[in-house]
Amino acid sequence: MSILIDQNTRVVVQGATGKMGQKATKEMLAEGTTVSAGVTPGKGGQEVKGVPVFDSVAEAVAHDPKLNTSLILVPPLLAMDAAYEAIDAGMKLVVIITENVPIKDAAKIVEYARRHECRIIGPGCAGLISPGKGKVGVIGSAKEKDMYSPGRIGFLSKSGGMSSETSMLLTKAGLGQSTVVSVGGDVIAGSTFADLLPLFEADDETDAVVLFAEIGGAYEEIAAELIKAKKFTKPVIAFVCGRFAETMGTGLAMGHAGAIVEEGFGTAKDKKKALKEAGVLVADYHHDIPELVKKALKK
Amino acid sequence: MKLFEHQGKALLKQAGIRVPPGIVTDNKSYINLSHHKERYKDFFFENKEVVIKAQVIGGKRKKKGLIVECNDYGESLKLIDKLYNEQWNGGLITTLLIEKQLEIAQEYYLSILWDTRSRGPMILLGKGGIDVEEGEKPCELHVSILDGLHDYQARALAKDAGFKGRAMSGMAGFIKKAYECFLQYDCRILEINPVIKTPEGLLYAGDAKITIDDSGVTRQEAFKDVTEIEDTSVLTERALEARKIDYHDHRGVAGKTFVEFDGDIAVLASGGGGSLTVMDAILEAGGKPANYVEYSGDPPKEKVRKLTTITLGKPGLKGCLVVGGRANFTDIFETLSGVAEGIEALPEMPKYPIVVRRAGPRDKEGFEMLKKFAAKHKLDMTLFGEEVSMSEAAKLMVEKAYGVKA
Repeated sequence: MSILIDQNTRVVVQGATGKMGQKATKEMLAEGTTVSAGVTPGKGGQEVKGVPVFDSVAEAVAHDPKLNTSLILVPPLLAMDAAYEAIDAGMKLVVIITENVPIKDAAKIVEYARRHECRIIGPGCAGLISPGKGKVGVIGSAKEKDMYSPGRIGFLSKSGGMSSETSMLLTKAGLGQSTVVSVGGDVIAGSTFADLLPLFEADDETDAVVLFAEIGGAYEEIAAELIKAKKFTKPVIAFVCGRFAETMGTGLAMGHAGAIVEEGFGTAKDKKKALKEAGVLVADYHHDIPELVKKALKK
Repeated sequence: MKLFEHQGKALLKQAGIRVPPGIVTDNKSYINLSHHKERYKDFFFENKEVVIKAQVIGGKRKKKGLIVECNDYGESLKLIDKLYNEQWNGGLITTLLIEKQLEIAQEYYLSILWDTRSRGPMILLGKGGIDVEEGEKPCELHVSILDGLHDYQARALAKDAGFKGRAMSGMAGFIKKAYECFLQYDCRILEINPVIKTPEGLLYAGDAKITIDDSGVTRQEAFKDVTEIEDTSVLTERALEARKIDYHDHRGVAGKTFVEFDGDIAVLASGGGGSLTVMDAILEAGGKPANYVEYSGDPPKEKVRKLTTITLGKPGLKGCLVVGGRANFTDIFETLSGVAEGIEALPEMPKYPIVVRRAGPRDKEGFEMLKKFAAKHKLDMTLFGEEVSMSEAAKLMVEKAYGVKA
């Protein structure tokens, strides 16, 4: 097993004819993921890497009624419309890679999805991968040596780039991954750590979960509350980055829009404290993560 | 993007919220020019009591003496001169807002922001004043972004905060207008502290602290020429230059997160999380970063070139770290070409060590290109792939820059 994606995942790529869309389509196909349609309004009839392109998601669904997942790679101000279209066409998982989606639009997408029982990953994320089973997004490859490998560690990351970097550390230490999800670091996230931890709890092929956390927002604190309340009982290992932002000054937006230190709120120190109090093993250095995972698994 | 009080008030006024009558003096000479002086004189004698407010970003202006009240014309001119000579973030104050002093019956605090728990807008209303942070907790209202803010919800919030009868409806109307403004202008935070209630029962925005969501700025006509209304006392010249790289070009992110520090190791980092991890590691090893910046999302070469030239334009550098995690998608050859072209555009070639740690698509081609580039320009350049971790590379950079073991 794995979470969110498996052999039944069938993907439509919104923004398929763009540079990113083409790359993503090619990579997902190479990973063994079923990509049955692309969508770019006005470009219906074209093909991307052998995948037919349609003008709308509804037409893509008519072509493949089993479509259940959308990958969105459109410009920031078009992301909300694309997400609404995917939700209205009945997609159950919508992964939004697009960065710089306005907060207002992200909030609308999240609430609309909630009402339609659709799960959103992102915006501003790299996607997700269940090594050996497939991927949705631009998160890197399990085909590449030393990057992702099949295994029993779940991994949730606020950072897209660090999802592959961290997985590489895990793979080198012999720790394969069940599913790796880049959740994005925006103020409003479609899925947070606390939303996805229960899925790993229910997954009998996941033994422990690693969190790559960042300063800003309250998603780490909410995850800590969930773990403390025993709603997640498997070992959790976390790394929190952004200490420097507290040392060098507050109120500066660093990295992701969500990584903002607002006068003592959402600091690395507070997050580490909350996670430690919930029983999470917190790594001081990024490269300490694999060692802590091994330690947690021995217990 | 943070707005000055007078800019925020202009938005509120457009949304139908009362703001005190006032004039903005936008440079030192303004008040000295005779015709402007006449205008100010008229304004003063019309209102007789004024508040002179320095336009800077940041709280506690009153406690810092940057907001002064005055009821004597001659005295007010002296105060204006005095404020113009105050230092703020290393520069002089450039803009004042001079307003009619309102009679205050009561002060409140109103704030609208995005709540990461409910993942929607949240409105806070409570007793106001300059010490509001230490005061009692404000009342909260979570709004459904899809359903909008209903009148009855705004009335209930006003009632919770102690408003009764007609005052309750009045406050509810005020809240609704502020909420509309919050959404219309893609605000990240909209705070009015104080909301002033006059003895006649009228509500005014006594202050305005508004931050616009940087991702929403591009669709806001009102902020088309963004750099003009940006607080240059908060951003350095280099940071302003770097920010311009991203405006109206959505292909990847390059300069919008640029922050300058009093250090000597220039950093060109990729990815939000990766860049934070590296900055932490530089500090850990005893290094002093000259800047923070992250570029990501597969930006085109030109963006990286511009960013490199701006970042390395800082005098007194001792090292430059080009670093990123294992990239999934970013074309490493493309971005490293941008770095090389950016270095080439510098007035003189760097003599300090440059450490590169990058891995990902087309990294080998990128490294080959950099090797030739370094040889051609006799650069002290060290190249690492994924065999060296990001934090190790940061540590090595610190050692090379200062010539000591970290």
